[in-house]
Amino acid sequence: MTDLEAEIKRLIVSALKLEDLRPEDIATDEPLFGDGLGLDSIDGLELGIALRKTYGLRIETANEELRQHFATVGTLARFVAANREAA
Amino acid sequence: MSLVPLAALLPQGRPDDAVVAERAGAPLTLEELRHRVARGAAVLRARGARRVLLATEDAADFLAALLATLHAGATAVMPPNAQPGTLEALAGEADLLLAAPPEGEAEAVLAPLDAEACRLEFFTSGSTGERKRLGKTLAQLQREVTTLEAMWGERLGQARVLGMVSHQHIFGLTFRLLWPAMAGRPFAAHNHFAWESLVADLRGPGIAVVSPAHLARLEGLAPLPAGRAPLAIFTAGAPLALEAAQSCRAVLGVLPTEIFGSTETGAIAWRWQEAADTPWQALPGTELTTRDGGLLDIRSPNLAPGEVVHSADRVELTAGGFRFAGRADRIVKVEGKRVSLTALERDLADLPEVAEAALAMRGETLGALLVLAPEARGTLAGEGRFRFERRLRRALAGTHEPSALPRLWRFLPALPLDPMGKRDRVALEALLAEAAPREPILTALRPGDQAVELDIALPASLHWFQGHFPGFAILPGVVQLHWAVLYGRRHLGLIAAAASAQVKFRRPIRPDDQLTLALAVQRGRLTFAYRRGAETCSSGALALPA
Repeated sequence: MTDLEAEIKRLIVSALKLEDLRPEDIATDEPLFGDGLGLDSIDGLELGIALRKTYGLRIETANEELRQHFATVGTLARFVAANREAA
Repeated sequence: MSLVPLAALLPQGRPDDAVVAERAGAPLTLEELRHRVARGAAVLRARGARRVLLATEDAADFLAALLATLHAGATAVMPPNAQPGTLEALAGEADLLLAAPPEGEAEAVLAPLDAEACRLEFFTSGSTGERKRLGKTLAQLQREVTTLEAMWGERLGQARVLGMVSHQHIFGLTFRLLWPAMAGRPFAAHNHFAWESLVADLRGPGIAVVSPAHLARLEGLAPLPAGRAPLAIFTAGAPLALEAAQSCRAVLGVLPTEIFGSTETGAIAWRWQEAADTPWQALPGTELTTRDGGLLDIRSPNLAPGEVVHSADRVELTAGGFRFAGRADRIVKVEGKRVSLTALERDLADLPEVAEAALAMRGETLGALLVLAPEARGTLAGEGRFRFERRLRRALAGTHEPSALPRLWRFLPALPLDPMGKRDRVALEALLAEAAPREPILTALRPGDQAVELDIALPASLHWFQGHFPGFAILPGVVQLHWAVLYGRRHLGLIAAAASAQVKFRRPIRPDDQLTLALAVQRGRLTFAYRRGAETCSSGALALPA
């Protein structure tokens, strides 16, 4: 697991205020939405805020593409790495 | 552009190449829609369908299936959501379920519809939690659109309509589909998943139809350049926080137009929230009065002639409108969705994992407080709380929308009851507010002469069990004394703290224990005993200061 993946797991738990989940309980390749971790559309919006605030993501992307980037911690980490604001 | 009634749209409405909707970037023209509807109506007629349940992913499919149903002379039955469990429960309501307009070779002749005779049925939660059926005519919906167009049509021109709310709800149906179709504005057939994609789709003049949940989550979006601001943003479902309305203006360049309404009434009022407490303004033709000291009664062209809806909305009437003061029943708004606490509690309690269920709100977040069935306790321990909670959510997702499901969970040995033996709402809210409560759950109170007995249940999440001791949590003796004094004060009128104590601890008190605490004042002493069934866990006496 990369540092960024671990960081995104922590972000998911803190941003979504998931009282009863530890970051290490999330598998990197587990679907975040639906039958995997079970996040819903509101969680998706909250996660969007957290990613914008934490990584300064400024992206406009077509709907289907965005869904694919948000599929798992792994895909999200690759997406963030490619689009994060230059430090 | 003038409105074309939906009843006349296909037979004689607009030029063949008029764009009705956009799907995956490609336009759906009126001609194409007409052929789809004509084929669909022919199939439905051939099958003799009388009642058709409509549940589609795609909004253009929905419009086509709806029109095919109406042109076939059948009633359109609209499920409150497209969750499989809901559709299953409603299967008996219809002869046929359509997830897209049916396809065939033949085309029906599409004559103009009689809007007064076209019937749609909606479902909503009644105040008792039962599903309530609501019939509307197409004429009613057309009258609502006529009002909306008279209010805002001119400024909206030919803008494209984008959305983040489902067309299965009346708000989405009216604002994303029916109004655009009647006004000749193209609508996007898919729902946007996130702001990033909706904003990316704002090319040229646009209109966004979103929920308050979306507007509350704009943080971190780069403000749109002035030229790309949508012409209007419509939202409905719940009153929007002033902060969210203002951040919408800052980021998207326009103050959202908030719509007040319900499945029963359609849109009845609107506002631009310039300041906190901006009153709602009635839409033209809507007559608002109150009954029983502030419950809103509604007469509107959206309703059947002469119909009055007696709502459970508490309001204060103002010139031309009202201020909303909350609901008078157990319906709450969670992320803009109307949730019947009664119905959801019943559905939770029906799950095999759950013995008893209660719901409460923490701020705007819905929480479930559950007593688990004995066999489910092991499952919880094995899966961990989060996955167990999501499993319960998934079990309910068949009949409830995810955003309207509990986000906070408490697993308790018993639910708190007030002295009358009814659910103690205040205690439920307190249990939801604190992840690690400091007091036990009170389930019964039996006052005596200078004495009282309390039935208490100790949730495993109790503050005093944390770290004491790892792997074998027990209730510290000092807490047992503290509670004896606390309840002595509350129920026996003691004012001073105890000066000294004699105590005998016999058996450890463990998480999830249900105990009886007996307190009595005798000869200047407060005696106490914690009992679990027939066995005494601890007992003692506290000398009271003279």
